[in-house]
Amino acid sequence: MQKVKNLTTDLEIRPPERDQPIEVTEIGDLTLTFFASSVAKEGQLIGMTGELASSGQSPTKFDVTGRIVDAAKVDDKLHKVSVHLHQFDKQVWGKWFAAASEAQRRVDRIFDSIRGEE
Amino acid sequence: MAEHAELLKFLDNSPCLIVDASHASSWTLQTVLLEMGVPSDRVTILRKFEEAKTFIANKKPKLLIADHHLDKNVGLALVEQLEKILESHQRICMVVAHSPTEAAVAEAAEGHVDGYFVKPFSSEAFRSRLGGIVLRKLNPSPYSVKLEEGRKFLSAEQLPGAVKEFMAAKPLDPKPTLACFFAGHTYQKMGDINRALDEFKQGRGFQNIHYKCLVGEFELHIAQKRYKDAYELVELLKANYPLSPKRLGQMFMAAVFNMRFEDVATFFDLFQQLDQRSDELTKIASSALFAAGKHFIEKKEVKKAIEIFQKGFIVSSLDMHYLEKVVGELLKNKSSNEAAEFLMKAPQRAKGTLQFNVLSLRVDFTTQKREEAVERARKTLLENKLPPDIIEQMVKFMAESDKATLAEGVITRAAHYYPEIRAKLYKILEETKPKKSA
Repeated sequence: MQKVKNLTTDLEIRPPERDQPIEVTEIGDLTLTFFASSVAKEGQLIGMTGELASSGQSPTKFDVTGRIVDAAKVDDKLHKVSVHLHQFDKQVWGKWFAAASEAQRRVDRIFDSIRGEE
Repeated sequence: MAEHAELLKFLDNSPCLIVDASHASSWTLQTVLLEMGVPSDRVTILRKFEEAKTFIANKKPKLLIADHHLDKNVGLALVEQLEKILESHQRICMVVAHSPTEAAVAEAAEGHVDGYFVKPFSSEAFRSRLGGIVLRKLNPSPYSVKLEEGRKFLSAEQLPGAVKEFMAAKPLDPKPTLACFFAGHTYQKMGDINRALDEFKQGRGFQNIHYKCLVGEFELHIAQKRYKDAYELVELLKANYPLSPKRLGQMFMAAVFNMRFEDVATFFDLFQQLDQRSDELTKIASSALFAAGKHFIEKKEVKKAIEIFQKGFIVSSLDMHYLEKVVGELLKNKSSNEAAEFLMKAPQRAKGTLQFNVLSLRVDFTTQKREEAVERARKTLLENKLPPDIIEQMVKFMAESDKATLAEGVITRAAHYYPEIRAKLYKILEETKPKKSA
């Protein structure tokens, strides 16, 4: 994500590493999780601007507004933030989420068929 | 929560190692482990392959989670390292990757990886998969226990003991394909090829496309140089599984030995899709493509041959020795123009080198540029050593052109490098009569 802003406080949420975009590390049906260096609190609204890229597809622009559902402090400079998505292009997200889920299912299929009953 | 306790029981206070160049990804994995109750001082995150190698050697982590791509090395190499230190039931190895190719997943599954995750993933799914693996490792079925015991004998090279355990495993599972595979593999190591084959076939009797039995049978045929039998399994493998780099190399070989040169060209496409190519596979692929090109030259299908040679040249990373071989073949076939065209595919860095100039002379000697080439060769010889075949052609052409004095100069110079060919060169000069048109 190129830009993440806390809409409640109007402050920018900074990435953990300078000059690096915020990376989405976990995904759920309507949630995404990332790490940030600045503090954010549960219940606050955030706005994110960036791109979604999945295996074999070119990146698609994706803007989203969501509410923080979990903000856990890992250490003084690192926070794990989970966001429930509210306003976003459902078609883009749905397509990307389906592609990401299918990529894991495909890997599982290959993996399990080769490993057999091991 | 039960799975958390199981994980801690499995780890038994041993370290966990996460090796991932991405900070975000490694923090996620760390968080999952911490949430599962692993003490933070038991989780180490490393970014570099070499650091991880040292850590594994010294600390023997029971849980390894590695990114498939680390520096220029693959995380699988770390899995292999740990596999040599800890037995299967003592360790868990997981691989994570962004957009992995099917071949990469197949390679991991063929090895000793317990789980493969595509980034970004759901931590719940990761936790659940890890929990399942832990449960299996802690509470193996009687069938798995027997297999594990057999594998211990197998790694200790106590082969009869291994066979005994694998045979004892068979009645413990309704479809003991893996027991058949290991029994076959052990018989093969003992040199009992027929029994090995019987075991692989028995395994495929339970499940025709059982990967390990299919591959076991395929590899046995390859090892026995029974390429025709091996090739009969290629379609089954190709249709049902992505090919790992190792398998692709074997298929290239089997295709060449079965004269299936059309297939060699199609394997090139699979080769191109791989994101990791070992030196060995590259060598096999370029040799196979060269053999295929030669085959089509012999069939007088020069255009097709050149297309395949071109693929081989790409595979070889534009290696000049490969190009030299191709040019040689084309010249042997008297395809001078094609040889000249192929020579121009040489990378910029090679142009102007002695190797390139020699090739260029060989080609030009066969074309209208011959006279100019001979003069170029004469000047080159003043400073550099040229191969004997070039010198012989120079002398012959000079003699034909009634330039005996120049030819003698060339012979004197050449004798400086190759005194043993002086007499031969004089013989060429004496026996070659000037052409009337010269």
